[in-house]
Amino acid sequence: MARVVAPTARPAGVLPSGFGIGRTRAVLLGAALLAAILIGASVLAGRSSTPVAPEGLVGVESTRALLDGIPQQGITLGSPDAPVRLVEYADLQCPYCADFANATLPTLIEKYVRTGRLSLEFRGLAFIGADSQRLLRLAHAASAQASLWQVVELAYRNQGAENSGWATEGMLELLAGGVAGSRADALLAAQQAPWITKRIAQDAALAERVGVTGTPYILLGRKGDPLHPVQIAPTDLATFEAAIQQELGS
Amino acid sequence: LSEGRLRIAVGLLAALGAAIAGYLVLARYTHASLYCPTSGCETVQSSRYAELLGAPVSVLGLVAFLTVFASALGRSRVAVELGAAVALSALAFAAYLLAVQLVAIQAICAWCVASDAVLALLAAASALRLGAASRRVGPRG
Repeated sequence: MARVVAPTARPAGVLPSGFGIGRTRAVLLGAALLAAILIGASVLAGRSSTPVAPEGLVGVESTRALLDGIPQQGITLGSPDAPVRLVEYADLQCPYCADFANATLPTLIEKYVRTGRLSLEFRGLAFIGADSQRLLRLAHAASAQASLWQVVELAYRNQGAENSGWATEGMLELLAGGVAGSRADALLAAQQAPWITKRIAQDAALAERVGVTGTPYILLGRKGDPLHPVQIAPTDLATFEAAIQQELGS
Repeated sequence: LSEGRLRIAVGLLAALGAAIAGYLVLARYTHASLYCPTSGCETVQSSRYAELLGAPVSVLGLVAFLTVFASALGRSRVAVELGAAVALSALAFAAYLLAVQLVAIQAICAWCVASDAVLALLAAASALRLGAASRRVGPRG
């Protein structure tokens, strides 16, 4: 026989405490579920193959840390009074140039450029293809904001496959944003300037006169003296350091 | 804190968050340059993580802040629960996006961080409001 329990009287509009806790748990569960859906959708969007760079733009902070505080003028990084010059002919699509930029240059910049003993000059070439040309234009545009080397370093850190069309408008905008922040629009607008076309043609002609046969093509020498080409593997940091030390000591 | 003070706190914080998100939405659709003390705002805003389901994340943020703000106008239990659910889920998503900025994009958007800070306070106030609302129920009969 079923027992009938009379309900206990409670004030009107007041719910049992168990009911309140249950609803609170439901709210927390709902919040967790909503967050999980948002995060899941974002992770999937992040894996999308539409944009070029694999995960937005990588290396923005490390590039900033590498180059911040070092003087730049045009294509030159480092003090104009540095006793030794290193001139690099490079194509921003060239994977060996990226190896040099990623494996060797950071140490050279920290040890020799930042300390005022070495200056670097970037002579950009665009012989690989249209992507090279587009990236190089952006780099030269950035030289007007004393940040050519930021574009160069960031481009190497985010380098795509040669002539795959990876230097899209979106990629250039990402690079410009990563380098110039709120001044990115000015940088993007300057890419087609006639002086940039002229500068690229001048560097190509210079490379031909110097006898550049492949990139990276590196020249080294004391300031004021004729530079000489160095035949060193792009990732052979120790040999590069020895060559620079020799120039510094000579 | 009394329910009244919590409601005011939630409303003010949600309005502040909506102002920040609104600025990002405005900049997005007018293509205006963002004022950015960290210089990473454009990078973050132009990364693939800046859009979700076809909508800019800043728009989702604006909708979330406005929803919580609307919830602060109401005194009902449902309003409190809705505000808390949105604020807490938004906080979790914002924490994920902060990790994305640090790890994947390697750039920090100062506006996003400011929004995150407001959101953290907003979530705390909303949670307190939710807790107070659940305690207002009487003993089990």
